[in-house]
Amino acid sequence: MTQAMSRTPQGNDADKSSAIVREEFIPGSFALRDAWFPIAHAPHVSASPIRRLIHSQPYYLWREGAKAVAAEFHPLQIQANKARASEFTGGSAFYPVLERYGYVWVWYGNPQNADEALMPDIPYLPRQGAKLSANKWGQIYFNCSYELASENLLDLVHADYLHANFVGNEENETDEVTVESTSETVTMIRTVTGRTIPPALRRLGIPCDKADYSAVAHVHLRSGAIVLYGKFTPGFSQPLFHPLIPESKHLCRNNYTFNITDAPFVARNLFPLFSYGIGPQDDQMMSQQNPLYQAERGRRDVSSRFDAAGSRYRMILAKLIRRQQEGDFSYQSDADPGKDISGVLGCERAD
Amino acid sequence: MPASELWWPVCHSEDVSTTKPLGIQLGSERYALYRDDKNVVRAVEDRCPHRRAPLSLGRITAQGEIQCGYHGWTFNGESGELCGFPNLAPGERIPQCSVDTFVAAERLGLVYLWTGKTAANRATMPEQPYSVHGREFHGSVIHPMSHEEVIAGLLDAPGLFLNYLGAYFTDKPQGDPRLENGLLVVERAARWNLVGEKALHMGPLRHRADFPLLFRTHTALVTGETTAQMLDARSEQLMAEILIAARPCARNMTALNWRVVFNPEAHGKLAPLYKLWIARGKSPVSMSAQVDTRALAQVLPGPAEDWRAQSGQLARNTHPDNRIANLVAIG
Repeated sequence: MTQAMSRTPQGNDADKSSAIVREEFIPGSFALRDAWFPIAHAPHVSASPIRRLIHSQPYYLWREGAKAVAAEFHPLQIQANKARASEFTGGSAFYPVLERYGYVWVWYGNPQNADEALMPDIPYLPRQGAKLSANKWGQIYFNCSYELASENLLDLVHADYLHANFVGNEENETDEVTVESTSETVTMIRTVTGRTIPPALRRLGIPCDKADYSAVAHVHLRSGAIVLYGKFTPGFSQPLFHPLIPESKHLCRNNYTFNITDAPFVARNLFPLFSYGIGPQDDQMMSQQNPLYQAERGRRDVSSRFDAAGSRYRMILAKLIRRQQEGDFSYQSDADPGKDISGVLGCERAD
Repeated sequence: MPASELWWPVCHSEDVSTTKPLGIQLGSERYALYRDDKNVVRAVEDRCPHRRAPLSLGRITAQGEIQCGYHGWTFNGESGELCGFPNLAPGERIPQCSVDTFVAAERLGLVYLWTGKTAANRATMPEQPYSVHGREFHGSVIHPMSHEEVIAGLLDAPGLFLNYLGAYFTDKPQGDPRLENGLLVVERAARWNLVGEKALHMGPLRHRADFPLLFRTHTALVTGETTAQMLDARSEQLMAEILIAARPCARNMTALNWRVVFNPEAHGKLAPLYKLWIARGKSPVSMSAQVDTRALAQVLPGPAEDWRAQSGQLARNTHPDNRIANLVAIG
């Protein structure tokens, strides 16, 4: 007998965690269902199977010809294990799979509810995929739950301190954060004027000491798919697709793609490598935060106006959890994950 | 007397002989173990009721009884009753007295003691996925750490406790821990380490997308008895199965009795190297005699928290007043 512990709606501790989630933010305590996850970059999926996880659920990925396949078991063991296939594949052992935007996407939830229209829109990546050079996409692990990493992206103020050497410090002339949301998404829009440009960015082609900066982070709560778009004026844009695959309450996987098109050649190719500097800086903080959020109960966080997006995220997450605990996995009328968000981000579509 | 309703793995089968009693400490209790004339393991309180000398310092008689080394008082290991002592006159009455006895059982090369107040039930032993089907090695180490912290360390940082030739244990748990048949199952990404550990922390290797190996442990609640396997991508076990029995002993230290069996049909990159080691009588996998405590102190809480919580719950559900259970009842 296998017993899931405290994460899924069917888990023994579901009732207990539901009560806790209503009162406080406990990342990693609940696995939201019925969403598409960009589980792997398309080039990582080949004839040789790889194993990935979503909320501890195993996904074996491989190609049969050009077609990507996802199953609960290794392809050589499917027949032997088919009787053990779970509700996530409807007993078939195979998950719904789509290949879009340069990723293999899989469905986590009831396979009968898998609908391509529910896939997030990523306007700056070609929908049918594009051959991007290897320096523009990659992977970073965060030793924390995906909810904490999502909050990190909604709170770009932290970048002024933690990543000042990469993206500039807090010495801005003005700094405004606005938040929009639906029942499934939170969008943080940050507008900064007179931002100090650090030497690293000046060398990459932003030709001034100060520039204006705008950044939008569009977060899909169920899947952890985060569509980021930043722009320095004068300077170049940073379209960053930053999905956070929730592997466990201790680990999430960021399969990122940086598709900069309007920067000089050097910046276009070097700026994406900042991820390998910025990611570990974030991980250094989040890996320490994670156990405190999971172990401590009854302590409230203090927030400022710059945390409005994170607070909204927690509120909508709690509502989503509550609905799913009550058995409602549907998307509400205001939620349209596949909606064109190029206008929200202020970017042009790639196709 | 430990009263937890559990089977505690206390030593290797090889450690218990028909010639010399073995004294072991489990928590705050001491036991003398030996084999009787039928080769059955007997366990008695390690304290002669005559003058409190440890029976483990005594000897085993030809009739399979344990005899105190101080004055020769002799006890039946099954019933605990005094059988006699030297210099009694013929027909002289033997004082009515006995030592406490405990049910012992052997399995997987280990000796288990039932520390419960209720009747021992062998069916309640956790079903560990370990079987001897190849060359087996065994050994023991003692760590100057509490039983709870040793098990927690083993779950959160196995690389600090195991010498696993050519393997690198990542800090990446593969999914959340789960309970299977009363055992906590924890999985962790691992890879062969052919370039040195420092190199694995640098550059592209640090951001590797997929790992070829999965290190899976099954850990019993409270006792922490653990089996471990290294699996390949097909979830097939590679080369070695490990069995680890942790025993809380004196001065808050923990004895680890480990066994490892190597699959003669093993495949994989390092199989030839492993076979070479084994042919030379060396075990490619063993428990570390010393733990890098500086590194361990920096390990973040991970799957071990689930083990603590579940163990605490089990301990409370059995005997909340019991001293051994309380050693680990943190959850």
